[in-house]
Amino acid sequence: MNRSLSPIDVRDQSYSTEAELQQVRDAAHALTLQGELRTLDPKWLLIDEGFTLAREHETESLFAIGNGYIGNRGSLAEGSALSAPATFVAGVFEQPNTPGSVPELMVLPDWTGVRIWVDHQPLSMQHGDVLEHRRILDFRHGMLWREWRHRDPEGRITRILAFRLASLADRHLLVHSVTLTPENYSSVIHFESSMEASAGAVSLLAPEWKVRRDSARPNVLPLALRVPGRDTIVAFGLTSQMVHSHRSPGCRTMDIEPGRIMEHCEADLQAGAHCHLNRILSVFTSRDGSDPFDRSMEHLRQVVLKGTKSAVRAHTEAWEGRWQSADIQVEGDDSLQRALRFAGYHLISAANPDDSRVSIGARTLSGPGYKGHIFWDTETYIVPFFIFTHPPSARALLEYRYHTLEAARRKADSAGFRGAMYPWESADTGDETTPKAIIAPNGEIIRVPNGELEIHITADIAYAVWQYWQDTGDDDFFVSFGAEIMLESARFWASRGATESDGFYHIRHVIGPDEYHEDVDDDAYTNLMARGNLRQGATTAELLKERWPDRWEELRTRLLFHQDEVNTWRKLAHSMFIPFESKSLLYEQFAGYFKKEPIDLKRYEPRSAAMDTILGHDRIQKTDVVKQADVVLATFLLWNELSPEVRAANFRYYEPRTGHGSSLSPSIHALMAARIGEMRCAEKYLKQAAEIDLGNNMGNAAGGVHAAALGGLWQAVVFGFAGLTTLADGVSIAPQGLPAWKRLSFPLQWRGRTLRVHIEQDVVGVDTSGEEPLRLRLESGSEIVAEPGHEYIAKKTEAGWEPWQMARSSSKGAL
Amino acid sequence: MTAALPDWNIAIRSEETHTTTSIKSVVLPLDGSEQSHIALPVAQKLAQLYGARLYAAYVGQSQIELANAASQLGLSDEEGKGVILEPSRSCDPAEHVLRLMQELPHALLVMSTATGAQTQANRFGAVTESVFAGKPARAVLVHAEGGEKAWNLRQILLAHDGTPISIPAVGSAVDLAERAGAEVIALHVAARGEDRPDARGSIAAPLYVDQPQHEWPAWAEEFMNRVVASGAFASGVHFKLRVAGGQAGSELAHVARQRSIDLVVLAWHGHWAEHGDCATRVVVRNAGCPVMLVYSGS
Repeated sequence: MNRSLSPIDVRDQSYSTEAELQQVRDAAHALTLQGELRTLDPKWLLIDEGFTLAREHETESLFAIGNGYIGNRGSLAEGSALSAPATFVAGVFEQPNTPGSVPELMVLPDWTGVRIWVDHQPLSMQHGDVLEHRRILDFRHGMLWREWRHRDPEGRITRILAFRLASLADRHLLVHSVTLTPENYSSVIHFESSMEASAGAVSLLAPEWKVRRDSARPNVLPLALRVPGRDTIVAFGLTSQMVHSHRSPGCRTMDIEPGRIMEHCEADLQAGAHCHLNRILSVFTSRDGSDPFDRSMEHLRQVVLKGTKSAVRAHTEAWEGRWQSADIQVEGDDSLQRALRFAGYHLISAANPDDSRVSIGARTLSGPGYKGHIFWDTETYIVPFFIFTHPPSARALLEYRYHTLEAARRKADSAGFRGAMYPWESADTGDETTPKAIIAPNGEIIRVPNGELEIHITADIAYAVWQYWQDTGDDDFFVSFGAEIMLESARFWASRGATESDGFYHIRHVIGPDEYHEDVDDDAYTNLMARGNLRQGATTAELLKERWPDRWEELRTRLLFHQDEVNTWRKLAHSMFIPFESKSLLYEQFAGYFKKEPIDLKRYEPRSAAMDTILGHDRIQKTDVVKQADVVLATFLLWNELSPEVRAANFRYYEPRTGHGSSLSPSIHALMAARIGEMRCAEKYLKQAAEIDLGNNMGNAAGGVHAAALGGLWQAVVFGFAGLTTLADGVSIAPQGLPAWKRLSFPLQWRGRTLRVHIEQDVVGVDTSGEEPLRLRLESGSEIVAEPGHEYIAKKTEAGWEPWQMARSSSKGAL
Repeated sequence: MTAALPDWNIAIRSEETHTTTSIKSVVLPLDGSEQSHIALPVAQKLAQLYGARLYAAYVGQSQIELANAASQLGLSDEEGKGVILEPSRSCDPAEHVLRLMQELPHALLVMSTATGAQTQANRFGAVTESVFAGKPARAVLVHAEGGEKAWNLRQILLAHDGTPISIPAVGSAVDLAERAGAEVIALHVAARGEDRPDARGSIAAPLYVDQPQHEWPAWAEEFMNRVVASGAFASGVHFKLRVAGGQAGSELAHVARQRSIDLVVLAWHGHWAEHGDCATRVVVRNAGCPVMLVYSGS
């Protein structure tokens, strides 16, 4: 069967370098290391007890590891009938060679496969008794653990303890460590660890790959492949080392089959002895620079030189550092606490602040779902988390939109518009990647118009750029990148609509966030966001002229701007048609929405599917059922522009009409309900938002976690229940806790300051650090200019909130 | 349509193993009436497809004379060839049928809905009602209103509620499709008025369809992966997956009629006597084709 069996037998080969000896010593200390690394607090852990084959794809997604550069699903090392192991590198898209296909995130060769034989019998959950089995995701340290205790048909009991990580300290590094203990027998243990192209369930495209045989190091498995349809090269360097209690190492041979390379190690183990297999993978691509193969080899050498233990420690320290600025603590609701950490874990795992040419796909790097494409989800639902917890990551995500600006210009130009028209779905180049049509569940072929009509994404991106700049004060970003996005997006809106005979500027033929209604006119969300984009575009031009004239001159010359155009933007913003009824204070979601057939959604409860599935694609367009937060989302995003009455009226009108057919919906409804004080409603939606991935009967996390829903959950708590809004010179808090919560606490980054907000039933506290003071405001209007290094508290009495008071000085370290 | 479109029509090719025990006996209850006789073509065809022996169980009121048994059962000489006649061994016709089902190897019941006199409105024949109250493991009901007609098996509609309970029905449908060279259309009804199934491993239609162009192909793939992994598949069976919204029973019947389905296969919880209007009865009455019920426990 072996095409080219070229064993590299190192049975008698001594270790030639100090580095390799260090690796052996590391492995010998693996158990000690594992003991130190384990997090025991269950609120930091996601545990999948036992094994349910049918849920395997979901489990793989939920338990994925990642660091923004690389992601790896939480598959079983030995595989199962449903295992779909996959490793992804951000930005590495392949282009299938089929008509009408779109780029998709490439499934890279699987490096995690480890199969074990005990006395020539495979160790498998399908044979014998599974005495214990659990996968544990440790959010705190960013590690996936697996514990498996198995009795084989011969009665031998074997214990496996394994961990896997994608280093947050060194993004090109992955580690997989397996420790095996024969509990009641002595025997020969055989490990077969492999690297193989994925086949079957998740991706059907086998990459073209070849083994590089020119490695000078016998225990390094080198691999390089060219991405189909792209020039990208991906290079792997994999080294593995086995050691057991009595001696080291076991034998090692290598087999090569088409699509698969296998290493074999053996050890003769006594009962109770431990055997460790450490696998270290280094990944570089040609996107990182020239000769990724040499870089991965050199990187691997350096990692081995420093030792695995050191690499693992650096990783866990990096995670602990990130949580310092991101962890929301909720005392009194353990389920929500775990959901928030699950959200934070997957969001942090998805972002790479060091690479501004990639963004976060709708399913992160935890699965192949949505082909890795990037939507408005990123800017509207995910970027806020990073703005307030890790601004460099937010900046990198927004710079991705700068680097794809040229593609957005191409799209606008090809559609007959000016400026930049961002794609509804984006991949590596920034060109539109929305599929043109799908086969619907009823068998019909349905055209997908979102790529042409769901244009609000351009305003969403501009909104996020503006918010980032406002909340970070990152002038360098704004001048170098953000301003050009603001100008080009405003220019698009000025060309997309038309001033009609009524004197208003109308934007027709669009899809708003409510995608149940396609090809509508004067969509409230789109027009409101476009109006803001036009205004901010004009402001950007004025600010550039005033504060950064050189940059303005450069942009004006290159983009052929003149003052008349900027003036036009203000006029168009002023004449933008906003469908608003002053009597009812309602925005009409789009022209004609109020005349749609009313549907009482309560009559459909409980229901097991989305409303468009129940009513059908054509029928739902004739009804007033809203897919997801639409006008409600606009009232949140434009909060400071609207009166409390308008916000509440629109929430109360649209909430009962919303079917929540998108995972993006519950969180925004929780947020808005909390802000307007409808706490039972807020609690219901918060629970729904928290269960989108973690509920065990949703069934659609198989392709990866729902990144926007995770970002939305963070927003619901911070912007909704804590009521955080930002001011020109500070922040405002309007706390609305739930009865079960004893304490809500979270850190914030705002314009170079670090804050920690604590909310209890009748007390709000804010610790501040940084160089500059900031204004603190409470919902009551109580304000104080908070000096850095102090804690301020406000107490609530029957009469309302008392004024802020300085409680004590706090050191930066205390934050 | 372009080649890049995800296809919900999948030819299953894998090394899965059959989990369905093949049918070796087909039991056809006959009371001598034309109404009970309409199930004969279906029973004969199924016996042929399975390579099973066909047993005609007499469930009429009058005493049967062995010399004239075939005629009393309503079978012509031609129809009676190869059929083993089972005169009643009990005064209770249903008990006779159920005992046969237990005694005969791997038996499948094929029965007209109008076997025995109808004693209650909105119910089937008395014998049919009594037999199904006994929850036979595998049975095909042929609705009498359709009349007797030749029967072929080209399209099977498989009801799948997304729970592991449907797996036995999948096995039966695929096994039969393989024998007949038929295709299987799996229909998942996204129901209103029902909670999402909470059995571990269930895969109901998605509650969140963020982007249909991605969500539905992914869901279909996941659905198929889970079904294939359940081991219920034979190789080479052409399988289509469809989703409809509404009430399960009426949607199944609607799709069966709309697509001229030859056989509906569904997992059955055994709810029968107490529910005159259960989904199973709705399907049997309105599908316009025979319905195979695979008992999956209550």
